[in-house]
Amino acid sequence: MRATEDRQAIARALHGSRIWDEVVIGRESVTVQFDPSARGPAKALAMLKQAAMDDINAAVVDAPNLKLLVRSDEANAPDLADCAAANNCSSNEFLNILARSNLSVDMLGFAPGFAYLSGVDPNLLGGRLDHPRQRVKAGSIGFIKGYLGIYALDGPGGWPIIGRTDAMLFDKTARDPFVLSPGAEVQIEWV
Amino acid sequence: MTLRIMNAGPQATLQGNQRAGYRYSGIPSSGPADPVSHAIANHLVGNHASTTGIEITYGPFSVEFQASAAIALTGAVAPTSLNGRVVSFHETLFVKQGDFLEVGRPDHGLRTYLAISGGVVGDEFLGSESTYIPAGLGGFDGRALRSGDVVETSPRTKPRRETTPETLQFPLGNSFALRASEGPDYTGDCTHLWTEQYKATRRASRIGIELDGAFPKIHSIANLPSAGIFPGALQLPPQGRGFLLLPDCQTTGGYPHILQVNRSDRHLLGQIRPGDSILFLHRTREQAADDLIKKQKLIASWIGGFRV
Repeated sequence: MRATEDRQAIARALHGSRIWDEVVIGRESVTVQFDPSARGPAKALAMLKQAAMDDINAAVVDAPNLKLLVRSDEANAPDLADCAAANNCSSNEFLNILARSNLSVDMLGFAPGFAYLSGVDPNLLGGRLDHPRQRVKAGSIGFIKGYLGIYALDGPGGWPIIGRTDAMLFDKTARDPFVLSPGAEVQIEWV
Repeated sequence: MTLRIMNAGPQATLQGNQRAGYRYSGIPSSGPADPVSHAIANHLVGNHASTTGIEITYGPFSVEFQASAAIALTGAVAPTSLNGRVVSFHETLFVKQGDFLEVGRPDHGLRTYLAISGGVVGDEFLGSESTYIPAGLGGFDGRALRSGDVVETSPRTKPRRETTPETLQFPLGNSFALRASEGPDYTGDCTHLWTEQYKATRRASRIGIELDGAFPKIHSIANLPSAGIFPGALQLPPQGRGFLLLPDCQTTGGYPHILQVNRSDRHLLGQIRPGDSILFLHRTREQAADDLIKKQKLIASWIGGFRV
């Protein structure tokens, strides 16, 4: 389903209906999975269209607000200097621009709990590393034009790393094990 | 009871039910790459179809049992012996303390399933004990088994001796015909996907299998916004080789999703090994649902309530 607006509200409504096995938010879409042996494809499509029209407004909720303390020394932000240089500014100026951005979690994906944050000043440029790292530490924050990416777990990754938070982003025992969820507003404070 | 892994081979993991309902937070389903073989093995030892067992990827694999149990082997058939005597796949076997099971390399197929009555005990994460190696979740400390590991099992009363009905002993060869439907990024340039033969490369894991062969050139949609993606998807990255997704695949992707192997045949993906050839059979979505209902009926005739 294409939906550039209100993807999070649509996803919440679909999720809440308990009809769908999986509901996944993409950059410009919401995707569901269903069992075609229980419900035929035509019926499923009709239900999906109906659900997206019916329930969106009911599912609008106040987004949680999170403040993350982020370290940006060289050990925790190995690519910060390069990212700043690519934008003809100092590391501090680069971080200040980010600090003024209205960041919110756009979607989770790529790896368990990996959060894409949108709202980054579109004038800041930057792309993936030529050689992805085998291991990026949990809490690391990457930057690619338009987005910040937060690694909830250790894992491989190709985003240039510009900081790292000590905040606990993953609780194995919780029903929802990841602290960052789509729609959450995130405020970053550099330390 | 416990069992000691003597030789874990290239990769053996604990797999049980799918970790369902968490893709929205980036967590893949995991679970057996060939869930049908996994369910059959479980049924032979009196377990529920999705009880946790051992997925053996291309032997050799060996294990010593430290108490009596019923076991069963299914999936890729490999020369196998118990205390040096040849044993069969697809039937209940009874083992006792000190027995030594050796699974060799299969001639066809890639993954052999070992079920133990009562099931093995793995770390539970979000309602599943299935191992997801990339993030170290579930299973045995979130990792593949190693020689020397001692795996625990749950107690269970002794089951009856059973044999898998012949209609459920799906034969494996070096070629696979997979029923599939058009993906969201399928275009008019994709029609030869249904006539071309593809070959699995050496890039093969529980995340996916790379395919070599003539793929369409889809320049117009090379840079797509990331969207939800599921096992069975055939993605087409810019280097031009298709990538067919398995249960550990990531939850979102930005490569063109050109076709989708249907759920009826997705269990076969877990048996494709490097060098095998693959043909895609074109199905509409309605045909795909019918195929699935038929296959589920066939399996449920023996394993009540089974769902692929």
